[in-house]
Amino acid sequence: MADEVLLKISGLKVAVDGKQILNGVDLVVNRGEVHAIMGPNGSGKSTLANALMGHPKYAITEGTVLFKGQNIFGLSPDKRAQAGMFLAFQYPTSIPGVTMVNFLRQAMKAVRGEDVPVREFREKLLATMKLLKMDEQFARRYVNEGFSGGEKKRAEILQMGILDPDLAIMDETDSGLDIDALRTVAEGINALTSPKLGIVLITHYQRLLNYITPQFVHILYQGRIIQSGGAELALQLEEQGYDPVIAKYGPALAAAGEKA
Amino acid sequence: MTETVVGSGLPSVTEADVDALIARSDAPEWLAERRWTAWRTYVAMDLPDPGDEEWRRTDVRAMRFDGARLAMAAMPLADDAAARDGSLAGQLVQRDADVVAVQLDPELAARGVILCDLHTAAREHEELLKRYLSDAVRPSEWKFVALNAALWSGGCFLYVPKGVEIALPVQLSTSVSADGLAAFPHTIIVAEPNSRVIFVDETQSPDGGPLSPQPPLPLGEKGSAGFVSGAVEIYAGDGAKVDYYSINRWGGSVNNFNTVRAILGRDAEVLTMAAGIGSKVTKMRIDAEMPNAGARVTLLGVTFGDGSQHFDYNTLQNHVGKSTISDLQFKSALTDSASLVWYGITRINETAGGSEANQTSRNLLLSEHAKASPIPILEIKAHDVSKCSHGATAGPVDENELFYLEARAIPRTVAERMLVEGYFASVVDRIPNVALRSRIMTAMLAKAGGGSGTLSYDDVLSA
Ligand SMILES: Nc1ncnc2c1ncn2[C@@H]1O[C@H](COP(=O)(O)OP(=O)(O)OP(=O)(O)O)[C@@H](O)[C@H]1O
Ligand SMILES: [Mg+2]
Repeated sequence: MADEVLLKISGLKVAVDGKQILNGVDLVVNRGEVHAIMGPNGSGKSTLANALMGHPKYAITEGTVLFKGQNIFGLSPDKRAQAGMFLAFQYPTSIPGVTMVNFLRQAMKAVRGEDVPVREFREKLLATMKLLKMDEQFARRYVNEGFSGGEKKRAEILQMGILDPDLAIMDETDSGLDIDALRTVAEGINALTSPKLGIVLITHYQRLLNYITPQFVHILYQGRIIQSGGAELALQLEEQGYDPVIAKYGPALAAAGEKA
Repeated sequence: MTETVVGSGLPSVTEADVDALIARSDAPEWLAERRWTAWRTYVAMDLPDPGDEEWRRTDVRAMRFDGARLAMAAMPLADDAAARDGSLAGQLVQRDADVVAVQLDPELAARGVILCDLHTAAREHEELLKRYLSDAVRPSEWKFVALNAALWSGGCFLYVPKGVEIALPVQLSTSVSADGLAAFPHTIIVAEPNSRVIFVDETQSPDGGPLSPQPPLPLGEKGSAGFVSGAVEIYAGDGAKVDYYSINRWGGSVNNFNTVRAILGRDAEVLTMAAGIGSKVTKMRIDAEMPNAGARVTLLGVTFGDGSQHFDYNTLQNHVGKSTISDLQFKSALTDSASLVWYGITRINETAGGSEANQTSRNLLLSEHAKASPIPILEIKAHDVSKCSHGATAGPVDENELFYLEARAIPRTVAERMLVEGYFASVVDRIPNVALRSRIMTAMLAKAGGGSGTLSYDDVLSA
């Protein structure tokens, strides 16, 4: 199962409100692989994540994205999720009035394509909450409403556990977590990992990568991947910051951008 | 004569109706006199001026009510509509012009609780009725309130003595059996100091959707406009707690006018909820008067409008006593070409130092032709108000909320329904009584096209 191509992004260009943000992104993720995407603020990481999931605000102007060999551009976000894509949001939305328990049940039903026996749902819910050391009371609360930053991140991984995706894109799931929570969430992610799962971790810090070791690290800068490497690249960034990388690849990029 | 100018579109009721009503209900002298005074007020008054801010968006002068004839004496119910239901402390069933069934927990009756129609109250509790009838909602207020004072029949009188706490709801079920009838419901709730009562006021007529536990209603002259002018007077004594729930399921031909006014004693607490589901036009006034210190008011509203339904709510949070608190939360979801007006005044008088008020009106527009006009008005005269906030919005479903649900595999149509449900739930969840909460939610969702199959966490746990 591993090594099978899960996601293939080719020459992806994305615009938001008429402004071009991604300028040609190429990326291949196989099952069983962990890819980290790093890059300075505003480089387009969340744009990539949202565009992959199908947010209506993000217009794909060029390129293709194949998921399990299927072009996803024509698919609505729910169809993409049903196909096995999952995005853990950087800023999860609060939905007053909709309880977590109902939300998760609807989501599980939708991804399965059929009703889930309540008993089975309950077991899955309780087990996943336990794994993430979440108080059961969260299930009673409205979706993300009044959750602390760290609680929201945990809740995202809870959803991942319930939906059991093939591809998980995690947008700064580590930010806002205290040291213990980081460990819990990382361990939770590891427990949810399987050979079928491909992971794209968007992060600013090495600390999450201490728990979840990526085989590939990519640096996104001004809407392009300017360098790719192994886990050592993240360590190098942690020490030296982005300046050396940008000095090396940035000017060529700027020149290419002018030509384009 | 003004009557011929503004009178052409008015309900087809006459002096003879007042006469007949007095004869039929064997009214005491003072009551007959009040009816005649109210009738004269009705005849003398003009319809409200559409130039008036409160009437600008619902111009009654442009409406016609002349098809509506006075609802007649009701046929007795074939089955026992008020069969004692374990979930209620008491029930009063009004059909057309009459109360056809009354039930009250005998234990409560023994403790002095009174539940009866207003004619019975006039005979058996004359002093109480004299004191409370038309004191909170006065005939001089406007033309159709005067008409109610002249022509009410049946009606509901609930009296809760000092310190008596009624845990289960008392329910009034009012129905009009055919289109084209004019009805005048009148309710008086007296909660003496430190008493507690939950009152449910459910109204229905043909096309208004099923209402338990009543038999199905025969259809009358289908489509001809119905006319309702109701009055609800709530007197919450010192430290009393009153919850009042109005569930409007009038049929689609009904022009519904209603005035609800609560007068609160010291440290009294009143919660009202208006659930707007039925009617063609609803013009409803809900006022909370807080002349005494420490009173607390919660005004809730949920409305789902479709077709060409029009809802116009006027609210008043009148702070007179010191350290009084009020909170208003009205929400609507409107589709097709439905429209809604909420015109709400928060008044904090000079005497009401240390008071706190909030008003929020949120309106979800589910179609491009739906329209909402939320208008909050703050009149603050006190210098030391401890908190005062307001907010009003009208707009479509939040794209980010929708995307969040869709990103979790939930199809757009289901996601939209969940959002509408959640949108109402955050108001309905403020109802303390769980059974009522789910009843109102179910009624709202039935209108909104069925719920998304909600289970509570407890349901899930107990599975
Ligand atoms: N509606 C918009 N109009 C114009 N520019 C936008 C709009 N939305 C986003 N952007 C810009 O797109 C760029 C990329 O944003 P994005 O959120 O993808 O960055 P990011 O790499 O995720 O940053 P961070 O690390 O801070 O999360 C930013 O410069 C942002 O200001
Ligand atoms: Mg981001």
